[in-house]
Amino acid sequence: MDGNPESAGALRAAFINGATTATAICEAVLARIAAQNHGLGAMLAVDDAAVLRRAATLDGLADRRLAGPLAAVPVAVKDNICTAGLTTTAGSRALANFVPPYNATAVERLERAGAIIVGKTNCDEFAMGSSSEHSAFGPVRNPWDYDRTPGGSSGGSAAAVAAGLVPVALGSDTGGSVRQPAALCGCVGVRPTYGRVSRHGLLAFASSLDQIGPLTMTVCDAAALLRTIAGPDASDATTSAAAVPDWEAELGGDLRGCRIGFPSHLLERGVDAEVARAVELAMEVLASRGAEIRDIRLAHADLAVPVYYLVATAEASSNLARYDGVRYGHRAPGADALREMYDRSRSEGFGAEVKRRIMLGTFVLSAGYYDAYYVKAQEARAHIGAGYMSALAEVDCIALPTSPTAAFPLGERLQDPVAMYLSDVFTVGASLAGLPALSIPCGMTGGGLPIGLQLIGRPFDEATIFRAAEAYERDAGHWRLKPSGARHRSGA
Amino acid sequence: MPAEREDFPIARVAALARLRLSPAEAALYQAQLAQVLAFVRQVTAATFGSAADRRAADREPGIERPDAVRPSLPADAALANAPDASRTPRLVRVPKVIG
Repeated sequence: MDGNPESAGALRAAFINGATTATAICEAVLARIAAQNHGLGAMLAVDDAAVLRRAATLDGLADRRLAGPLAAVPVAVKDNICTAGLTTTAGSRALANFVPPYNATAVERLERAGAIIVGKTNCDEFAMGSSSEHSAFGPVRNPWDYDRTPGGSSGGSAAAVAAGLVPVALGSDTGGSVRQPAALCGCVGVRPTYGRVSRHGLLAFASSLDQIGPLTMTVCDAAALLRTIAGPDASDATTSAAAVPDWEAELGGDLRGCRIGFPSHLLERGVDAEVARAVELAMEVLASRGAEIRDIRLAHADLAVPVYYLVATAEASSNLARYDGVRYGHRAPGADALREMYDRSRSEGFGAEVKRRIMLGTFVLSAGYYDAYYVKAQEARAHIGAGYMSALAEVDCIALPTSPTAAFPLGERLQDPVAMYLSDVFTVGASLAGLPALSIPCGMTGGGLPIGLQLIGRPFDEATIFRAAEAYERDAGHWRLKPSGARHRSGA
Repeated sequence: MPAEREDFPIARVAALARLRLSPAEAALYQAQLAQVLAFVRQVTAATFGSAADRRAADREPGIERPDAVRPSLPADAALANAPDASRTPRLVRVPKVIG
C-alpha cells in the first residue's frame, strides 16, 4: 500500500471491508466529473446510469472479497480504446457516433477484475499529438493551469487522474502518449514492454509501436492496473507469453545493487533548466536509496524523433486507410460516386494533424521515396534499439527526463509541427526499442508545474522500473500535491 | 537518395491519401510538410557502424497465428455502425462504383 487514501488500492480495501460501497464511490466520481469537467475537457462519454447499475451489482455480491483485485475501482478509459455500448471516437469527427460492438481486451480484463468503467477520456485525434489540442471535441486543459496543455495524446486520462476525477485511467502510448501527459500533469504513467498488453480493441495508429498503459497517482496502483490488463491474448498475435509477475509484491525495498544509467549528454541542450535540475536531484534521491548511478551514452539517440515520425506516420497512413465511410464512421452525404465518397468522407472526418501525418506517411511509402525514407528509418530504428540494449547490458535501467519542458501554453506549438514533435524527444526512443518505461513526478517548477522523471527498463522487466520508482515515490510522495483546479477531491 | 532540397509534392500525395484539400489547405500543408521533411532528412543522411549492429537490425521474427476459422462479429452488430445498411439482405450500401 502507498498510503494514499484516494488510491485505487485504498478504495478497494474500503469496499471490501464494508467501509464504503461501490455506489458511494461512483456517486462521488460522477459528482466530481459533473463539477469539474466543463473546465477541464478531460471526459467525453460518461453513462451515469450504466456506472451506477454496475456499482449496484458489485454492492449486491454476497462476498465482496470475490469481486476481484480491482473491486469497485472507478477507471476512465482513453477514447481510442473500444468499450462495448459506449461511444468511442478517438477524438475524431470520423468516429463521432461510433459505438463499438465489443470491448477491448484490456477493458474486458478490467471489468473481470471488478473495476467500473466510468467513461471515456478526451485525446488527440487517433492519438496523434503531444498536447491534447488535436481533438474534434475541444482541447483538454491542464489541472495545474487551465491555460496550459496537459500533454498528449492521453491528456484526458492524465488530467482526469491528476484532478482527482478518477483514481486511475487507461491511456495508450505510441511515442510517449502516456508518459508525457503523466509528466505534465503530475501523475504516474507506464508504457509496458511492446507485447505485454493486448492491442485488441485499441484503434490502431502505428501498430509496431502502440501499447495500452495505466495512468495513476501512485506506482502501486500502476503496477496493479498493469498486472490486470497484461498477458497473452489470442486476439493479438503480438502479445507475449511471458509470465506476468506480481509487481506490487516486489515493492517496498531499497535499491542496493540496482545500477541506473543516466545519459547526461542528452541534457546538454534543449532541456529546460528547472527540468534538468529536478532530474539531477532525483538521481541523488535514487542514490540515497542505494542505487548506483552511472553516466552512460545512448547511441543514435539524436535520430529518435525523426525516425519515429517516419515509421509512425507510415504505419498511420496504412492503418487509417480503413476510414473511408463505407462500413462505419463518417460518410460525406450526397456523393454520386464511390471515389468521391472516399475523398470527401476522409477530408471531412479527419482533422489537420491527422491529415498531416497521413500525408507524410503516404509520401515516405510512395514510389521513389520508400527506400530513402522508410527503409532507412527502419534500419535506424534497429540501431537505436541496439543502442538501448547495449546500455542496458551495463545497467539495470535508464533515467531521463520525460519531457524537456513542463506544460506549455495551449496554442503555443499548434502551427509548428516540428516544435510539437520535439516534445517527444525523450520518450520516442523507448517506443522504437519496444522497452518498458514509466514517468513519475519528480518535482515542480517555480511556476507550480509538475516535472516528470522517466525510467526505462529491459524488455519485460517492468519490475525494476516499478521498484526504482516506488523507492523514489515513497518519501517524495508527490501524490500529496493537489492541483489548484482540483475541487471536491474528498468525496470518495 | 532524394534531392537535397525538395518541395513536398502535396497534390500527388493528397490524391494517394484520398484527401481533398482546398487551395489554402494545400498551401499550408505543403509548407509545413516541407519543414517536417527537412527535419526528418537527417535520417537519410545517417550512416551506421558495425556488422553486429546490422545483425541486430535483422533479427525481428515474423509473427503469425494459425490460419483457422474463428467466430467473428455477428453481421447485425457489424451493420449497426454502417452509415447506410440494408438489413435484408444484410449489406452495406455505397454509391455506384461503375458509371
